[in-house]
Amino acid sequence: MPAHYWTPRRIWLLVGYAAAASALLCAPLYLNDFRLNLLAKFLALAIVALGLDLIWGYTGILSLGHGVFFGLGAYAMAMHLKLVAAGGKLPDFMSWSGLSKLPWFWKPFASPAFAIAAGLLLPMLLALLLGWFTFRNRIKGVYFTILTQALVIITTTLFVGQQAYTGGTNGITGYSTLFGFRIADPQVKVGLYLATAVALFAAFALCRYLTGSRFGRVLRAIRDGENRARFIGYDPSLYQVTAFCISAGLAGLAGMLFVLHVGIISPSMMGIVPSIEMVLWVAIGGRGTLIGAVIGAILMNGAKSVLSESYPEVWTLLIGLLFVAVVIFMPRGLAGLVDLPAAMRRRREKTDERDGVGDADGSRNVAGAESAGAEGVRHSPV
Amino acid sequence: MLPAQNPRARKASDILRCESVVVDFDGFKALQGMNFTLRQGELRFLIGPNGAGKTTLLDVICGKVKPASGRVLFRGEVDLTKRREHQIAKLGVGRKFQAPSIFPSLTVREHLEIAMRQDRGVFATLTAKMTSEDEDRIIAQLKMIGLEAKAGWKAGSLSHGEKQWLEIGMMLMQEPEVLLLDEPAAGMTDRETEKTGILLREIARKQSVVVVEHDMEFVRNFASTVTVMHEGKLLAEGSVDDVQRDERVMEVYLGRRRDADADRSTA
Amino acid sequence: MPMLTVRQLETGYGGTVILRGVSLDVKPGQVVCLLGRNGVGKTTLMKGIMGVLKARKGSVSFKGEDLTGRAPGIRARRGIGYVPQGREIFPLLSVYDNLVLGLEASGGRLKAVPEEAIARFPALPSLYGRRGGDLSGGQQQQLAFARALASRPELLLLDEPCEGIQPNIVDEIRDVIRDIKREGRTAILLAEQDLEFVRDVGDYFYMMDRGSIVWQGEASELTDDVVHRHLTV
Repeated sequence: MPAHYWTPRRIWLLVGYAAAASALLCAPLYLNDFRLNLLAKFLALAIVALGLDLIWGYTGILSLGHGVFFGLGAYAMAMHLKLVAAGGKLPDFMSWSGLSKLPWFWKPFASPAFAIAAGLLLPMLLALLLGWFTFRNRIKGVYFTILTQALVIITTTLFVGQQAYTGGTNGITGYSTLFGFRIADPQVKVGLYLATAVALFAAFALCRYLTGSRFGRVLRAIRDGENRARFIGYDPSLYQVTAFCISAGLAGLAGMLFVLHVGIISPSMMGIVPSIEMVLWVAIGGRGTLIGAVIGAILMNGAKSVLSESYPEVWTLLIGLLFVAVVIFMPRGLAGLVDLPAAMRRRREKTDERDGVGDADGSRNVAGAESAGAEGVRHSPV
Repeated sequence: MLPAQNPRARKASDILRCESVVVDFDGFKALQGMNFTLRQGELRFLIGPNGAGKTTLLDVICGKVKPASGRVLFRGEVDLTKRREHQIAKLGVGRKFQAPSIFPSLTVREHLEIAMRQDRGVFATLTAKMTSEDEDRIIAQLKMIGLEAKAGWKAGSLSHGEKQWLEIGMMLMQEPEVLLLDEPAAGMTDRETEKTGILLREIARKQSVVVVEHDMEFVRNFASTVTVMHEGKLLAEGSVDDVQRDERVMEVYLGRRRDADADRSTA
Repeated sequence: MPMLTVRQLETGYGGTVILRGVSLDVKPGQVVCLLGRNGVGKTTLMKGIMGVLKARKGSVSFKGEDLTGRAPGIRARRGIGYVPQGREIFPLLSVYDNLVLGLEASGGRLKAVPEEAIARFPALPSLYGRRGGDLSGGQQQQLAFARALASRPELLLLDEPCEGIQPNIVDEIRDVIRDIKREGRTAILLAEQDLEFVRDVGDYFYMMDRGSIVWQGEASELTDDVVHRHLTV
């Protein structure tokens, strides 16, 4: 990095990140078992949020189906853990459902390496399939989002229906050891927590690299104007599929880690509601900033945890209100509050036109018809 | 006979030559046997009343529209009418449309970076590193379009004129040989228009430029050769003075319709 | 008292400034012509008067009422009829529905499309059932004109009504404009490029260039010299 890269702003941000990372790594020292476990879950979910920010915040494509990718990763790990717990015998829920031997596709999950690979690659493969067929055919926007919702419904219905193979609505639970360690053991829990924190740092670093590279700039260009990007020679669908796959892989990774802290995975945890919540974390935290996604995920889940215990009905009301408030008043989310003066300037530069369209097509009179107001921020954010 | 029409006077370095180009849109003849020659290093202004076919001619050259007949020779070698749009762009013909379409959230420098002549694939952009040559080229370009001081600004906060210059800068990063510009001065302030004219002159020192324009003051101030079109054909060509004195040009601008109108339009 | 008063109007699109301090007047029953090459801002001025573009500076008053900042719908109901460049009829609605929609601007005063609006364009009734988008350019222009007349406006804004239309329909539209002028009840602000027609029908002229009024005067003052200076190359 050339010397001029380190502006005061950037240095402060680096200090901030370092402080946050240290705080997270030291958490076992000041949080009790229960809270540490909660934080571990939140950190895993933050990884999903990162992936979502990549595809939505930076590439401009809204997926309301990331629960599926998360769930596939979680199930992959859970299957492995269940087989370990069954110790070579048939898992309990299968015997209850009348199966006499282990289904063929369960067998490879006895190997942890396979389970981890599957937890990462299955979501990515699914994303590749869905992405290829939709983005190549220029299906985007609302239609794509609806397709992701359809994917969620299909997957959850499949998992619920195939009780014998997947545990049905009860999901998969009742496992206790990983790599020979007892998961419930406090020291193991600390180890798993730290592993999750490190995974989050790695995921963040990966996303940071991607968004800061030329690839990231092209993503943002595609988000801002897909046709324009095509016109200067980039194939948007390739970039969109790539971002989508990476985000799915991150969600899968998150699912695998999550299941280690929770002890159960069921279809409801990868359904429509969790998928929408994931998007809300990113929206409220501030999309297109990466750190916003992480903050949003941790804060929102923290709030949910506190409120759900005391006021369960209030939670859904609150998250809904918060979402509406953010969309209207703080479109850049919590992370956008950092840049408040610039945001005020943006407000003042809104468009002049009532019909919002301008003369871009017909009139020969004047060029320069723009449809959106100006973005007031002068310097690119870190 | 005007110099451009005299074959003996035609220099060896004709970068573009349109010969008898005919474009038919469902019965409406947008171009009726249009002839157009551009020499290397020229800054040519293309003017004419509404419906003359100016934009259609640019569309044909850059490959957006395929003519019914006629050909477009690039460097005297390649017939552009046989090539597709992105191939023509790769050959070195850049087109800038009227409305500025930049990426509002990317900075000025980032625009030039992604517009550079480079591999457009995913893997290439994932692993790309900015060399010092790249940096130098970007800075040189920033200087030329006058946006060096605003390199870190998000494009969305530029003025209209600055956005147009940024787009021209992006075109130049592709190192085209021919630039086709559609009303680059439209919507600009007087000062921005002046700067645009100077920029175009600067560009024309190394590349060839065709500008479609309606702003006559801009044309008068910066044009050396002007091509006037009417009803899909070449009407007159020459210096600004020549064209101003041309009776036929006056007539078409004042809307005195010629008999050809009656069977040309089916609107 | 002028019917329409525009003072120092400044407006544009997005970040641009197109109109720079434009002022003009239209008296009741008068035909005022806006002249100028493409790109000088005639359409932008029409849109500014109609309220489609917000005024950044300056004012627009109609019949003594300040309409600056009011929505286009309000201006239509006050009695301004607008025939935009490019017609902008509703392609999926029938010709009849397009016409009837024009009545909205009368604010409920008129219950049926006035006879005279339709009588001016005898080609239309036979097309009532057809979808607007299936008409030719010339027919669409007639429809747009009739639709604007449906609410009996006191001021008509006509933005290049003859552009890109086949010659025989151009003649018909011009006759309609002459008739309206003869009846003297409707003022017209007409943006046009054909000098002959404009000299024939116009009472007062404003010449625009680069977003400003560069010359104004009556028909007798519209000399060849003025014309050559501002309208040709």
